[in-house]
Amino acid sequence: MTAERAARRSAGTAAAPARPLPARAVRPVMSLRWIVSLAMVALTVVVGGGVGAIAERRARAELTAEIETRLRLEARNLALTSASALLTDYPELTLVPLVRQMQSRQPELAWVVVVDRNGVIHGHSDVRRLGTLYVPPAGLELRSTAGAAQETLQANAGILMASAPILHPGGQVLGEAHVALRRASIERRLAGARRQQFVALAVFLMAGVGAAFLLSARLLRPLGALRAGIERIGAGDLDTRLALDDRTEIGRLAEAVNAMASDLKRAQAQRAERERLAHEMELAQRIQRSLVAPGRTVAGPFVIESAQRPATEVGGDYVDVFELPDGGIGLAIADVSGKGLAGCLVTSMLSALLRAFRTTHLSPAAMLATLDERMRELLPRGSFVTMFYGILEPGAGRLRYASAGHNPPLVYRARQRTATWAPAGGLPLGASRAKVTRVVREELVELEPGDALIQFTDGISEALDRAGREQFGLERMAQRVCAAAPEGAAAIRQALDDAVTAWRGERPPFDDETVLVVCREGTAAGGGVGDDEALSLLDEATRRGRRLRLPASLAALVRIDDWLADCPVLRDLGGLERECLRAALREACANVVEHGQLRDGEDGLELWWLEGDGPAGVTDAGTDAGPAVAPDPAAAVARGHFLLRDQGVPFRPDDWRPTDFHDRRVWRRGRGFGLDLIHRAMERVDYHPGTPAGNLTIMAFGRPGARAGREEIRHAG
Amino acid sequence: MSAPSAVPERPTPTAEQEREAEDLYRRGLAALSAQRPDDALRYWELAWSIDPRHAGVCTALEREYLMRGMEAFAAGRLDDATALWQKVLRLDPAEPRALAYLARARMQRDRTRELIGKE
Repeated sequence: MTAERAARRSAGTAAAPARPLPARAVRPVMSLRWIVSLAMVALTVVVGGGVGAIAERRARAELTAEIETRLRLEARNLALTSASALLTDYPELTLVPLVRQMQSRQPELAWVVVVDRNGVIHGHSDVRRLGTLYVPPAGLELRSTAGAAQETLQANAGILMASAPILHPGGQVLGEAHVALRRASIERRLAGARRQQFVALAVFLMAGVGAAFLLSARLLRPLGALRAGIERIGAGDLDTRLALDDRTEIGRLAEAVNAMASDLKRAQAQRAERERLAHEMELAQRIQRSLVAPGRTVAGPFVIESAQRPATEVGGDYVDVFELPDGGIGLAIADVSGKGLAGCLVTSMLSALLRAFRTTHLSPAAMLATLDERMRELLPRGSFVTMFYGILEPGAGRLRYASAGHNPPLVYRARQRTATWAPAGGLPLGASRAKVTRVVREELVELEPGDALIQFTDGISEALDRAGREQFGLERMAQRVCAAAPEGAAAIRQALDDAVTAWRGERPPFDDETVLVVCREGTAAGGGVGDDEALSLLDEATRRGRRLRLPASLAALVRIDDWLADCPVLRDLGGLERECLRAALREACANVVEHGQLRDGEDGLELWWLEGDGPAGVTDAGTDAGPAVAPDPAAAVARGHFLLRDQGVPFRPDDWRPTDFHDRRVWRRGRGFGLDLIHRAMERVDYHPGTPAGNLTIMAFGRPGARAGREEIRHAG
Repeated sequence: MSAPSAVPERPTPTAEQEREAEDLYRRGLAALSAQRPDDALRYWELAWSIDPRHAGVCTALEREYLMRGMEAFAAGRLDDATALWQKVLRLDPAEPRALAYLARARMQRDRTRELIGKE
């Protein structure tokens, strides 16, 4: 319904007519016309002012140079004219009219003076100065001299004065002619030029502003239509198209707006589609969550924990835990090729089939075969499902399982505190036209108190690190399981989840991460012996046990035969039993020599036979390994511990799992029987590497179980 | 401005007249110092009419007439210049500068007539 509503809403929006714009706070508009005009004014003023300043500076320099030249020429001409006048009586009659004429012709001249060689004025515009001594104004500084006639140019703040000597035709100096100009006249001429410049600038400014205003008005006219169109698009009318016959950038902007409206319309439709799909995915997610097993199931001494983290909204992993009619617990975990909606559909199908057949009392292998038949009919080509299916029998403490191409389960043994990978194989469901029954095998795992079985999907083991290069890996899984297993199923599940999450870092899961943990709560059955108890046994053995010292050499192990023959109690064992015991002891010693890296001639082995139960608390009293069995005369005779001590590199042998001697592949492999031999010959084997007394191997001997193992070997042989 | 037409044949001025002429002479000097040459000229001419023998007044008037004549001459007003310089001769008929100035003015007038046919 939500998706339909979203689709209707989307469609309605796309086709809705333009609605009036909501009231918005209107900010004051700065007109582009005014901005362009003001910018034009500013630019013109700056450019005009700058150019004018430069031009004025040059004009001032040129004008000053020109005036100086003219002034020098005036003084020189006056001197030439005055020479003959000074040679007459009353030269003022010539010079005064001359001087007055010069000044009337050039009003900018401050004064024109002709003096004789004694400094007496003979020519001056002010006749009252005639006959007086000429006193030059104060502050005059020499600016330049020119020619051999010693013409000078002097100046002060207000005056520029040129002087030329009046020479007699014979070369003697008769007097001097002075022509002075007011500097203010230069400034007046410059001011006049500046006024013209200002007028020109003002005219240019007005013309520029007018032109800019008119041009911007013409260019910006389409903006109104553009704005109206954008407002219609903003109001939801995505069919609006702007038809501007404009070849400027505004025209291109209109084309971009048209393209944007088209894209928006398309994106709106896509969004509606996405919302519809998201709704469908949400539904699928709900369905899948309903298929996933409850997080915790308790069945007798067993606690079953499961968890799932999908990589996408809907994952392709499946995990289920359900009760079977006969009291057993069905355990299923599967990984569908492909995720998302398709994966969810397949898991739903798988769940339905599994629930349909679970009441038919099928064995795990038969169940997988039945599921394969159905899935092959239903799955499209190229799709397949890897699956683990097991039936837990809480009362018997065992789990029968079969695998269809799924990961091997990890089995934790509390007694040895080790985790090993149990066998798994088969072909994925629906992957092959061949029937799964040909390759599927049923396996059996005995789970003692403290033991656990962990099954998972490859999202856990193949989770990539932060850099996206390295996978989390099976080794790290086993380590985390070993560390957390003593705390129980929830701890194992949590430890794996924390480890994978930390391994991934910020990266989201690449694949669905699903884990199923089956844990038999309680302490380890059979007790085992701790390091302190092992050291007590060693102490007891050194006091009253029978010892054999051996050099670190495989060849020396033959002495074990003689040593056994000298043991009065063991001497009474049957031939096969003694042979098994001899082989087991030689195998244990050989393992120490090989894996402990003992150096021949320097290190050695010590082997004790300690008859009886050993010190108090070390016996197997309190074990719940099975129902009470009637005492066996042979067991009563041969009961005690073999202790093996070495000083080599501490090591712990791989976890031992009983070998199925009925399996022909075991015989074809033809090796790896050493541990099997030791464990079947002995009632229990404990390793204590790195104790203060060295590496200790404690082998309890004389239990009925050991005899059963020996019998099994005998029958198999 | 009233110019002396000739050295007046007057009786010897009284002491009071001499004092008055001296006072006017000094007023004329003060007016000249104050850049009021026209007032100075009037004071001196009045002083001369009272005491024509006052040496200071005569010297001041001669100088003033020479300068004013020179100004008129420089401005091309030959008649005014001639009239002023003749006033100098009335004060001192042997004044060489006035004689030279008048001769130059006369020569210039004659030369002008020769060159352009009129004054």
